[in-house]
Amino acid sequence: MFKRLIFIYTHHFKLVLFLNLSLSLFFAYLFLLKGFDKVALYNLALAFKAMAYAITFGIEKLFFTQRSFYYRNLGLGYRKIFSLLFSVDFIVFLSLLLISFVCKSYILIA
Amino acid sequence: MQELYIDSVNHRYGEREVLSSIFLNCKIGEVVGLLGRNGSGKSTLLKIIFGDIKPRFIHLKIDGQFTLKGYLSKHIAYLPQGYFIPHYLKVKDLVQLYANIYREQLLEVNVVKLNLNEKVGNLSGGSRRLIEALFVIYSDAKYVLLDEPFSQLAPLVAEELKQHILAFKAHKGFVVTDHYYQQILDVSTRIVLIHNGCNYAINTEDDLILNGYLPS
Repeated sequence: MFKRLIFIYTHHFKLVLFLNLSLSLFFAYLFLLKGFDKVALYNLALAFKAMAYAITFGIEKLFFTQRSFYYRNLGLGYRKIFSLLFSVDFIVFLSLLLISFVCKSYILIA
Repeated sequence: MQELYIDSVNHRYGEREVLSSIFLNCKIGEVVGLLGRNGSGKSTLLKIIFGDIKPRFIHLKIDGQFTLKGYLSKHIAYLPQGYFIPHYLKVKDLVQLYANIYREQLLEVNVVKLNLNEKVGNLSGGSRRLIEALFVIYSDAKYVLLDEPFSQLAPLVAEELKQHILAFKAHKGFVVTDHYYQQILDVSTRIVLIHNGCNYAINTEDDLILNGYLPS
């Protein structure tokens, strides 16, 4: 199951993974510049992440409907594919924020 | 009991009731041929069993276990009418992905062996259709739903596909539907006709005439 998911992510979601990671890096950079005490920035980051997820799902449903049979014949539904994808991406986003916060002084000096 | 069992299927598109109290079962070792006129609901029924369409009512059991969506059980594979595998994937990757139990046998099939390094989209229409059908047949699923598998296939290739279905009959249960009814009659152990939203067991070709599927 895990092998199949990895295959699907690496063959069909490379661009999505790259764009979502870029967004996470961009917000980590913004937090470094503006500081980690801005509530509005957290809201903005969450809103953008949510929008990115909605767009990702929407594009798949609109333009790649025939691919659903390909996934389902592997025993995978949209719920499983996207919940894992978005969870991993969000954990990466949180990890980036945490690393930026912890290493703030070092990164800014560098 | 190794059986795909579906009962009381009810589905409508808008005001039009397509399927009404449909019953269908398929045991391992059976090839159930599903016939019906255009728009009679054959493909809809297969999609409902697979879990692609949510009907108004369904009672689906796979090997005695209640299931809401066939594909989640991992015991059902489905060949849709159109191509379903992305064109940029290579045959060899798909063999690894779809076939585990029967991988060696699949690698022995000529059309697969000769096109291992090809992308699916570079194959001819017939070869692509045959290869997609083979991935579904040689998958680990116990029950295989084939929606118009013989369309787009030249007679010789259709014959080859029939041989693959018959070769796997002992290990799997098949539900096959197509408008090439002679192919269905050749390959099936049992025929079911869907007409006016209901299903009828067909014993002889005359029954198809009697139920208005074939001209008299």
